Amino acid sequence: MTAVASGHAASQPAGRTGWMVVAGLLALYVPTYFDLYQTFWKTGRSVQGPVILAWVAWLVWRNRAALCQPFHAVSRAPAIAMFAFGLLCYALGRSQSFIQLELFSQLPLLLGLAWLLLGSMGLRALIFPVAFMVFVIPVPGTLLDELLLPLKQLVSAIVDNGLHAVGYPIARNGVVLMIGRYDLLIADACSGLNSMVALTGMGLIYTYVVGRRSRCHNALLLMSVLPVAFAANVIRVIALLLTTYYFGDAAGRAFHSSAAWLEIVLAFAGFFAVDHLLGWVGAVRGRAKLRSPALGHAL
Amino acid sequence: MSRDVTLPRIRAWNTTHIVLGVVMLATATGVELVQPRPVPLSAQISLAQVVPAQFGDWKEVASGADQVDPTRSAAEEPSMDRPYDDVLMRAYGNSRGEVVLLALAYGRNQRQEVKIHRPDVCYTAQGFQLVSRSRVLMPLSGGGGQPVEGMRMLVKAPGRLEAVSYWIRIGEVYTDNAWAIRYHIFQQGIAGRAVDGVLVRASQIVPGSESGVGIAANAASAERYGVQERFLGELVRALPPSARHLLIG
Repeated sequence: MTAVASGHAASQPAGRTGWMVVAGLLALYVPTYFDLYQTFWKTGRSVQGPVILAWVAWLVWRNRAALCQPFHAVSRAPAIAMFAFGLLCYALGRSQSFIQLELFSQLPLLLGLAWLLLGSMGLRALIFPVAFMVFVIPVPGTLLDELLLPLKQLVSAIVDNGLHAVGYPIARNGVVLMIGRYDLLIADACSGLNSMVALTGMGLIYTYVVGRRSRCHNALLLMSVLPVAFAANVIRVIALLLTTYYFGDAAGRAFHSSAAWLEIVLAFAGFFAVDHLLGWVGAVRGRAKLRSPALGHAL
Repeated sequence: MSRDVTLPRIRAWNTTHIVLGVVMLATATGVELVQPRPVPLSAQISLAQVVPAQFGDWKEVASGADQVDPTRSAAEEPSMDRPYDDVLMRAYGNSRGEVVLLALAYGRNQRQEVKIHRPDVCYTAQGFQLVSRSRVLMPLSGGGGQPVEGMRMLVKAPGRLEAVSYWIRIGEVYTDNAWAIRYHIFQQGIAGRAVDGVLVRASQIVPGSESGVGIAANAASAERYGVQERFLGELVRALPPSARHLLIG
């Protein structure tokens, strides 16, 4: 959000008053992010959040040229309505400690602000980066409880069968995995829906950033986002289990906190691999198409 | 709509900036003022003091079994959820040799993301497997009072089968539906009222259940639910009215 504000400050002669907008934004969202840090980020339930924010900042920076365009005034009513809607969401979310609504309010509020202060060009330049902030919103606990158990069961079943197949002494009881003499509970943080959501967000950002020309390529890349995120999750749990198995409980616990980063790296490697595989397949097929008429002649 | 006009913007004082800034600052401060405030902690009565060590046929005994901590929801996130201000765990025995484990957990400020943990979540998080769980109406106050909506739950772990009866009161609702609870908290919050909540849980370990969960174990646990409900009813009636409202609103 500061990126938006500074983009704006650079774009037009903000004079002596631009800082007031920045101050307003900070007053609204510094407490929000502080709470988010306290309740979700600090406990490792979603380390992916800051990574998403970094991406958003980078995307805004990448589009900065569009923010410096000459300014055209739009009719102000829709922009003001959008901003006001954001403010309302914020007020409800914050006063009722409903952090999802509070975080969601950033979208209409920032876009409304951009529209008002930077015009429709500014709005267009920011709409995608700001929309990606949706993935910073943690999944509500209620939904987590409902959706998480099947996901946890699936992850532990895959891990159990996979490791068993390659000869590890592993057994499973519900969501408790026993490897060697250790019992490991596949807790929320391990097969977190939160991390799945955030990884999906990163996949979408990746697709947006690379922006291949072929629609088919983009569609296939988008479709691979969820499976890749899931696979990254499974690999993370396996890595955690094997660390515990070979190096003991303490090592496993130490690894647990950094495992989220491993997951991000894995997911990106996955997106990258799928992207390049698709590119390669596309190139091969393109060449085959070129060659086939000649082939027909030869026959 | 799109009457695009280039504005003469080279002004040092931009009214739009000032208005937007002031509106945002006002919202940020205003919102902090309207947040629902819970009852101050000092006005609360301590559960350990108010829950009698003896009532009816029941008497506090030293607990032989380790009790499942109601405040833990998952193995490695102790710092996150702190919805409790007071927790009481005791074991009671009666003249027929029945032992009931009692767990009370009270929090004066229930929020959207920080609420009393459901026992099915905290038992499974501590390695138990859920065998069965069903809703039940408990006619606690005996005569005229409203029965509360509670749950019967059977959980197992290696070498242990436990029959559990509980209810969770959040504000005025006892429902198991998390969305209804969220709605209740939201509704009360809009009216400026903080919502308190309590978990009332009675449980018994079913002996001779190491072999697994058979028909005999099911019958044994069914009998225990009756004991637990009578126990909880007597407990509620034994409390002074000021403390009773903590448990049944």
